[in-house]
Amino acid sequence: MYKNRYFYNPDTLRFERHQRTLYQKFRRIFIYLLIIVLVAVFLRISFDYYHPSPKLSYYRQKSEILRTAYNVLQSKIAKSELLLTEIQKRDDGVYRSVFDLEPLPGSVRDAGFGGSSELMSGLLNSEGLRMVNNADNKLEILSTKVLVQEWSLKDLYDRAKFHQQLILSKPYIHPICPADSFWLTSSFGYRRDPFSGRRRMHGGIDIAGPVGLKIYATGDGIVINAENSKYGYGKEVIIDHGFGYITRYAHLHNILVEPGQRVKRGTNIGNLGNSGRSTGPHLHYEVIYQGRCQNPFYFFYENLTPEEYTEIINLASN
Amino acid sequence: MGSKFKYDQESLRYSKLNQNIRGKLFRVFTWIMGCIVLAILFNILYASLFDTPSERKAKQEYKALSEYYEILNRKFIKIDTVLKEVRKIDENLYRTIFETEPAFVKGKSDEGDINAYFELIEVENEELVSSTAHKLVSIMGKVDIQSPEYINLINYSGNRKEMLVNLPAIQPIRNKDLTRLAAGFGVKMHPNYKIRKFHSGMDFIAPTGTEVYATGGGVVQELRKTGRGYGNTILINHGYGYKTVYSYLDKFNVREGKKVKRGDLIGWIGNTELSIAPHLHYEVRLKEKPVNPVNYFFLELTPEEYNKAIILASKTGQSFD
Repeated sequence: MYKNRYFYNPDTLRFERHQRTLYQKFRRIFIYLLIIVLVAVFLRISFDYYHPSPKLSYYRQKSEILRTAYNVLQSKIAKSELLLTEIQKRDDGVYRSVFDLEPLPGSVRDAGFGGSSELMSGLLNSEGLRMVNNADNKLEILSTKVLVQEWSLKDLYDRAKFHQQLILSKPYIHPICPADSFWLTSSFGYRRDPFSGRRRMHGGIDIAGPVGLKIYATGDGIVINAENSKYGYGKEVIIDHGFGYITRYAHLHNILVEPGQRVKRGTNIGNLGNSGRSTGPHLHYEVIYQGRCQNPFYFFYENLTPEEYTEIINLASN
Repeated sequence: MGSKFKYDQESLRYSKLNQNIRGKLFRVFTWIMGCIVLAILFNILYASLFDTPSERKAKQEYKALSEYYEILNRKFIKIDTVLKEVRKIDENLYRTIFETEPAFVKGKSDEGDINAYFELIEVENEELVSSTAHKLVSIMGKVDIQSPEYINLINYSGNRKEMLVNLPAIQPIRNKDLTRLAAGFGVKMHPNYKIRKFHSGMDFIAPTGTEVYATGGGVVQELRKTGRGYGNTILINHGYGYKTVYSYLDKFNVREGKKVKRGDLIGWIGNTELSIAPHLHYEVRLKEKPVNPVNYFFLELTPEEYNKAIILASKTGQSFD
């Protein structure tokens, strides 16, 4: 614009272009910019005063939404706490009682909690800080409780499984089905030996019956012997049930299992016979606990009907 | 500043520029508008590049909240995963011990027609006794006993009060919230043989040493100590054909022949290697036949509790002996 402006110079009597030095030009621009900036700042301040900027609103809104998320998280934590309390009650009140254990002491359940978490920041205002720390504290407590509960239940479960296996393994039934015909000829304890005539300890029981009568394993276990005995037991089967229990079935007619074979209570392991040092067809049955012979009758807790016994046999063959 | 002239290229002359007020004002006005527009533009530019302090603060706060939320949420998810595992172990443990599906949900229990049930606190009034005895008949009639015979017993003059005092009518151990009711009467899975077997009584699990009480007045007919089988057992004769049996006790607190009242301490729960848990096996027998003990807690349970007990007892899958 100024390029086209002329003025009349009275000294030279001519029209001369309006010239400005570079300095003058810059000074002019600078002043203009300064005024613009001042106006801008003034506008900004007055605008801000009455109306939060879109950016501000945006972040404030997002923070609000986040607050809702925190509330949701808190309610989730509360639900988990409730669930954990229920499991805890069952643990202390039912399960521990089943195993005759004392409930877990509070010092164990609340162990390892204390001190502040690492979430301490000056970036948040007091309300936000409170919200965050509150949630964090709850999570810390919950975390400890959950881990303790997990350990506790795993321990209880192991005990339950151990007991279950023990129950399945111990020689709790007769080696012969009650539907078959058999009779006891010699019980456990001291007797007059039929061969030597001398008083000898009879380490098991003798059950007489027809040759071929089915003989069953009286508990879950592994066959460790299934052959002719060197000691006059004839064809015998020895089963290791674990937990210190071993059973022996002697004078069999035939053997139906192999060494190393896993058998269940109710597995037919052989048939009654007259093999070895025997005065007649009978089964010699022994229960040995930790190396010592036990009275097998001590383990026959229940009188099972033929149907019930048959059910056990059926369970074994599945 | 003097007048300004502009130079016209075509006419090759200098002509004076009009500088009237209107022109000046117009110029000032456009200049101010230009300023404002530029100021606004400048503001927009500045705002898009920089934040005000409050904006910065709001942004920081949001970022911090967001970050911590992520951390906390991740923590929660980790805990929740373990908690799910814990729930599974809990359910498996329950299944292993009780041989039944756990139902930990607090569902609605069915409201049966147990409107005939009554609450009897003190048996003082003869009339009250007879009316409750009549109610007793109607309840029993619904369940076990042949009513005509029972009515005969009820009408046995003068003995109504005595009968109510002697009949088994409470739980044999402290079991206010029914949590100790572990296995009910009837066909259950046998814990050792894993076959279905008739369970002739009710099992209550409680720690060894828990006190066991006589559930009705009577005479201790028999004490049995066995190294195997039912463990230490007490048999009480209440008369009127009723007997109760308390098995798997640790110690006795009574002798054979002793007269007992309802609530007397007769022994303590023991343990047996046969069972996974120390428990009391409790039987009610009418004329030597086992009947369902759940119907013989009427002096202790409200109708709702009775309802709950029936459901609990029938749901349990495995007996403890």
